[in-house]
Amino acid sequence: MKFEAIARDCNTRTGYAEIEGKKIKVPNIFWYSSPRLPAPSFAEIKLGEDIGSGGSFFYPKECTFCIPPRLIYPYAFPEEFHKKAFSWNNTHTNIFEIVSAKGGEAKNGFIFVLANSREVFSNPKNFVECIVKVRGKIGYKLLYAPGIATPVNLAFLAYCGIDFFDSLQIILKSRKGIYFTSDGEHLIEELDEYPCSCPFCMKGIGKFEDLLMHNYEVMKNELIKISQYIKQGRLREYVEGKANLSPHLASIIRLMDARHYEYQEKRYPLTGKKFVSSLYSLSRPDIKRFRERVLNRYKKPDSAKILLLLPCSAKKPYSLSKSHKIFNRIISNCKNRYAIHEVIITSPLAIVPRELEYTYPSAHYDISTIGQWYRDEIEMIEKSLQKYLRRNKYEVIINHLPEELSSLSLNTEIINTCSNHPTSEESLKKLSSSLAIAEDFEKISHTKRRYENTLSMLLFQFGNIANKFLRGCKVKGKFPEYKIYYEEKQLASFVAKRGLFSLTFAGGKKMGKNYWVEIEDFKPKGSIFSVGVINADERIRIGDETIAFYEDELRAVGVAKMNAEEMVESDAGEAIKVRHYK
Amino acid sequence: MKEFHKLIKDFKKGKVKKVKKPRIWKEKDVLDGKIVDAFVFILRTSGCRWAKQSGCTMCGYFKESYDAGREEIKKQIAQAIREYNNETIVKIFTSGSFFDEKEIPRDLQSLILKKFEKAKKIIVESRPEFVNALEELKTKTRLEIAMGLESANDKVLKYAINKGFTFQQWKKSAERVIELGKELKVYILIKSPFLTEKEAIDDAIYTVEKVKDMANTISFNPVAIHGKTVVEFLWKHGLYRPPWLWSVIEILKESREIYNGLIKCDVVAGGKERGAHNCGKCDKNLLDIIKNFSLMQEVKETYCYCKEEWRDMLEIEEFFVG
Repeated sequence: MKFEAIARDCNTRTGYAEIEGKKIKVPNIFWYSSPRLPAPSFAEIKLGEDIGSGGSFFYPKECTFCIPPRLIYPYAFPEEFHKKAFSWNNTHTNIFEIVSAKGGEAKNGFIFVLANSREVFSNPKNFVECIVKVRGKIGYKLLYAPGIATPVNLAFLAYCGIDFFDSLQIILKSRKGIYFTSDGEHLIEELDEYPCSCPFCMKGIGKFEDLLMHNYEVMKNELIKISQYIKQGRLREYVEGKANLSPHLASIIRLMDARHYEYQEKRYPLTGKKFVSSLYSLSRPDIKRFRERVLNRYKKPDSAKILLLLPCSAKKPYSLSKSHKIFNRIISNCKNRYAIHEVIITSPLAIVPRELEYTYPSAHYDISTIGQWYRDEIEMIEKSLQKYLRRNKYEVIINHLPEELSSLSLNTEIINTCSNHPTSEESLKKLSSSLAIAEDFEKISHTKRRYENTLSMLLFQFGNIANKFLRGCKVKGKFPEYKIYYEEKQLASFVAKRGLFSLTFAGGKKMGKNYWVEIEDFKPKGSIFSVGVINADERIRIGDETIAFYEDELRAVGVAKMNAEEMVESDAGEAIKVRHYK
Repeated sequence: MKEFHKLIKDFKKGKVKKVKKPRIWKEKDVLDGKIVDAFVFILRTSGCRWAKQSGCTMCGYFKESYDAGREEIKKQIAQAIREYNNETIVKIFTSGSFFDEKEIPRDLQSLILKKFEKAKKIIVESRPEFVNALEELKTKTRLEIAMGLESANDKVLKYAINKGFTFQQWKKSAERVIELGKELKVYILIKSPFLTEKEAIDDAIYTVEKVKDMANTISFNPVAIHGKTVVEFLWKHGLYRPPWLWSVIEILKESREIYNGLIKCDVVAGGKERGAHNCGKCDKNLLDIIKNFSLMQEVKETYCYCKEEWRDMLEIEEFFVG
């Protein structure tokens, strides 16, 4: 029995589980199978056949590899019922173990079966609470939610962190004459054409079995789609797109965002690919994390006295866009350009200081912009900016944002340089003349500013420890390819593609026991597997620079493939991809 | 199970309209293989003692009771006697136990039996803890004691129904009834809460097996959703569906094969949302078959597409895990 996650995204993952000598993909569907209700030919694992049922507490059945016999009281019942049920269930587990939000602690099951899953799923609030609570008990182990999956909701279930689903709901729906597509349900008798070319639709759906098999096809395809999205790191994007199909499903992601930021934040990878942003992205955990880090970890370059607010561009990173190239020309012409701090204002990220424009998700989000803003966006930007300005002090603020954003209330004096359009001749002229104010301030050298930019970027990446890390260092290179040296040795370099600094072995040494894991006594080469990890700094997220120590000896520097929690808990899979080792 | 006490009490809260008049009607029944007239007389008493102390998860009969004093019970008896027209069978029910002195004083129990002594058979209901009263009560009339067992599975009795006794306790009383030369009617519940449809069928058949050598009559009671009960709460939350009529028929068929006595089944609220029901299209047909079965003891075969839905449930429900 072994489970190994290969790729992680949102609150979930893909990988493989070895069950009874069989290797199956995760996430996966347990396909119900019986002579009356045959499983589809592509079923990897069959419910009722490979996986038996141990019946209930009232009429238990002998079984070894099965959903164990169980006493289940409704979720709506008082806790004492669940405690009572738990004390019985707890003594009747095999590799499957019943887990309930209101029951006791989980033991050492391999696959956990969510009790009351249909009942809690009917109420998004209960469902979300339940999943998060249960995940609190079982950590990163495998979770099966029986009886709720359909092609329409599958992505949402996976998103929340469910690994195994089944075909039971499809059987019930098929019997009611429901024809599934990936995005909805249709009554079969109301369709005069089938939007599908599976063999059953091609042949024409005559009887129940045809409909069932078509629905199974749709379900299978949906599962493949989800697995692919997870591997591409784009599940959230897909889920946001589907959220508009059903208020019930929309509520699930909205509640996850509104109530379980912490649960999600520690699971969301720190880096990723390009994605499409929607209104739901305002509360997307990795986006919120970016905003929080800008407001709480990041500090502006010390000597920058003039804040220049710039609009975002569709092209990322911004500096590659036409408009930003124009802005850059004007800024470059300024005699004291390094006293100017460029900060891009955008939705859903709010504030992107120029130094962070390569950092995920600044260079990765794509959003429809038509020059009209939603109130939620304006409010979010305004609040963020106000908070940002309380922490970061400037002498002058120049606002080069288009009209729609010029009304931002920042409780301070602002020079507005944009009339009509930011790149109009008039606006640029005004910007150019306003920036001349920089000459009134102390002349800042490129070297000084580069050092400060580096510190700002490091603060964003590592938090306060960056101050100590950079002390006594020199920074070389042209933005964004900054390289950090200490006593002639390179400590780190900024990798634009990652949007983060990568440490050298010497860099790891200087970083000390920060973003670090304690490993067993071995020589790490390509990878450090989670079995070898004893302890991990709880700050570590997937994609973070991570340093491995055996006792007080630095052994390796690399990139985290799991978060700290999972590294410590799980006993299979790559925890750190090693870059440098001793 | 003690956890149920508070829950059941909570559900009982709220106003209940009290009816003080006895309920009396006439119906057909079977006696020694012949269809005969029966007189049914439901006495209003203070009600089931167990229901006051705790109660069963599916039972809402506590709402039928009110604190009738001795004089009022006498009045009710008088009214029943006026309406009695020498029907062959007389059924005297309270919403509790006929033999519980707290409901009907012993001398009035005697009086009732005496007043209906011309009947060929009298049927009364009681919880097992009160049947010792039979030692004091003398009657020449054939007497059948109907005792609710619901299920012979102690776990079902305790953790699903909260019946307040074990099968062994019930059995002792049943044996006492037989020793005293009385007939025994056993009520068996169809689909206790927390059981799947399949388990409900198995549970009923298991129970028949356990009582088939003692019972003169087995009467199946498919659960109907009574107000202010645990089952109603479950039903309202979509967590309980009253039994399918297919299940009832299945149980009747299987019981017929293993049991020789009289089998009866009165489907309360049959075909309605709150009672045993099917798809809505075939309900009337199946209810007729069941009604006919109670008299003729034979099941007529029938089919409807919803039988497939029911079969699906029998197969997959146990995998839902709640």
